[in-house]
Amino acid sequence: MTAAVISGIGAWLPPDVVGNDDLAARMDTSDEWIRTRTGIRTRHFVSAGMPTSLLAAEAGARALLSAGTADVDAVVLATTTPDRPCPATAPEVARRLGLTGRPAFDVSAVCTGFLYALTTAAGMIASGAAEQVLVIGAEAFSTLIDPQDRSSGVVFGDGAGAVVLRAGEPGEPGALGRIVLGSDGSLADLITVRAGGSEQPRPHPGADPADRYFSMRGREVFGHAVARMTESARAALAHTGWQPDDVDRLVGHQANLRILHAVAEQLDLPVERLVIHLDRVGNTAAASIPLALAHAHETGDLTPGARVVLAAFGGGATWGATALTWPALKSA
Amino acid sequence: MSTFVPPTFEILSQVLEEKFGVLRDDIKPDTVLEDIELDSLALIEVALTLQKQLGVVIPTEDLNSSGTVSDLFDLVNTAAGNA
Repeated sequence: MTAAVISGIGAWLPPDVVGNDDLAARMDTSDEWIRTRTGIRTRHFVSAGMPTSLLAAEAGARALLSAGTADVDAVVLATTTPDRPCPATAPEVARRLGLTGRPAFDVSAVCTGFLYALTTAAGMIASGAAEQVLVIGAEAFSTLIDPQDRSSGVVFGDGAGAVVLRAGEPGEPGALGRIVLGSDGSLADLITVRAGGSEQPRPHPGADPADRYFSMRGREVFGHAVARMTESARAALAHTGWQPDDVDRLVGHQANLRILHAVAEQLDLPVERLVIHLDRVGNTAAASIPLALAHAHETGDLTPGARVVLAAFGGGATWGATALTWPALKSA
Repeated sequence: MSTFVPPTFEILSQVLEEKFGVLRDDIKPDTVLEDIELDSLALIEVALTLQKQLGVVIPTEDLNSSGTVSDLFDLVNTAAGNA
């Protein structure tokens, strides 16, 4: 059995940093409210003319540099905010990276998107369809947000993170363990943009104008997120044979500090073992896990040999987790 | 066969005190939850912590910060099978 092994990592954030006080100046909120509810201090927003493909290519280029390769056999992009409804964004990302001609496609699972994309890429490697795959999570999530929405408006941010996967041996550092995934379509309304798809191409006459924007039922999401991330992490650990106490770092989807703390509690994991990146970047949806991994790698919070669990919950609803031993990687 | 009945009020009080810094003197049946700064997210956190400690499922959709400590206690108690 061929394993998919992480051989490079990279990330990119758009330069426009928005602090809580900046948001308080334009809507009814405060730094204290945002911090105590979410743990977020700053986030990055794209500027006009900065589509998801640009963010993805910047992160992808850094991951390729880190892996020491200019070429891969495929590009898989996890995003909730493609450049256009049609076509997929990944071919444009491949073009920007000089990889025109390679297979390239998008995967859509909102905040669990990166784990779904890893699964797809690992499957291509296991089947022999590819030796190396560039997997990117990228979001210009601010483009979905209602400027007047003071709940979702303060939570989300933009950015991109990427890894290169190569064919390797199961159990070697960087080899992805079993990726446990799940979904529940009955929860579609918890995290959604109602209009703009085939169900409601334009908001219905008389519909709430906010239908074209992102909406989230935060309180309900909280409970489901904690339950599903905990359950997925346990299942992923069971496949590796590790106990929760063996885990050095839990890299959870960076939605909310209080969700991450609750997951740690459910797993009996000290909060010091959580990788926390959302204070700087907010919730970046499909980009959140690779951004957190890249940041923890850069800062030395994540060191070679560390036993790492990745876990996410997102719109769909979707959820998933996997475990791996962190490899020695070059910084891009 | 007797069933073990957990001391739910004591457990609830401990969680509120240790995890959320609520003073013991404020944990009275008629205390309104939002008056001791337990917002909707905090109530879910309380429920999750109690679920883990008691090994029962607490229906978080029934939690409301305009309710009282007594309402919360009843919910926990029902879930724990002490009703």
